[in-house]
Amino acid sequence: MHRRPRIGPGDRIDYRNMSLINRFISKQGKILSRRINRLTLKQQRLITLAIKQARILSFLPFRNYENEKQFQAQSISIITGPRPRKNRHIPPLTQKFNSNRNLRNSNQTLRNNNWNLSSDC
Amino acid sequence: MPPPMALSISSTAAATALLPTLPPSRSRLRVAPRRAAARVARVVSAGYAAGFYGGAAAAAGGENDEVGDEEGSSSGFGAGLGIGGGGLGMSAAEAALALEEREMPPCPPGLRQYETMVVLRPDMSEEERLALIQRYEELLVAGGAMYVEVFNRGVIPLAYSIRKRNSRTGLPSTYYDGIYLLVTYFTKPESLDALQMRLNADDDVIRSTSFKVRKRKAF
Repeated sequence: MHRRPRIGPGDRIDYRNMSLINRFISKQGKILSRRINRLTLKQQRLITLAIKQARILSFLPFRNYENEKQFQAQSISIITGPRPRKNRHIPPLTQKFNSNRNLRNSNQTLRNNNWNLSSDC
Repeated sequence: MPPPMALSISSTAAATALLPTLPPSRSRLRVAPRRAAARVARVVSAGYAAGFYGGAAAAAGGENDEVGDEEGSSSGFGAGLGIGGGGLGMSAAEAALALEEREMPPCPPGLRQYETMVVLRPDMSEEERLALIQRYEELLVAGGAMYVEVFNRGVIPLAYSIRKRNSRTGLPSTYYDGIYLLVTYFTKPESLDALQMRLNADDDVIRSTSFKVRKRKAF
């Protein structure tokens, strides 16, 4: 089924046509993508230009800070929230020592192999 | 000088000629309902826009009436659209947009059509605003402009506050509202720079932008 286009044939894409422009910006005042807007390349380009012109003339906000403050508060609480201790994984200190020793052993083995080869020749 | 005067005389003659004839007004009123209905439907779908313009509807309506009073050529059209809008419930913004999108006369040779949106201080009196409009009209005509028309959208709250410093006293002022004027004209491309410099230097102008009007097919 073909979806109904969001811009009708009689609509004029212009910075003064606020009823049309408001459909293509998010609550925070950002320009929605073409995939979400379901517009052609030409329409998206014209809409973007109109939105930017409207922003300069103060018809539209560049960003809606009121919504953004709430979003920031929520995100901060999510990031800095308390976490249970048992979920944290602290690697043991001896692991590094073991890995270093393994490296030394591998180096020694390589030297032995080289010596064996030279003796054969 | 003579050519602009002649043009203005012809425009007033055309306006006076158009006013008495009834059939054009009837046809215009008939055309309005369908357009108004479509626009109303669109406005209903976008609640944010309606809410945004709702506060300034009364002021915009009043200013639209003033637009008719200011210019003789557009008084008939303004009055007609006003009546239609009032009867059909068309919003002020839609009425202003329809008025502004009225067909322009054919472009004179060597000139191009431009439109300038000017945001003025909200605390200006009507006399100051008229004086400013007169000043810029004279500036445009001196630069070779023709068919200068000014549409007043009234006081609209700004989407974000604009802080501007007075060039003489140096005191900063923060504006939360502005008077929006739309000026459409035909002029030479070279005279646009002078206009923009003048607008930027004016203390009464909060913000202004000039665009070239392109004949673009409506989608």
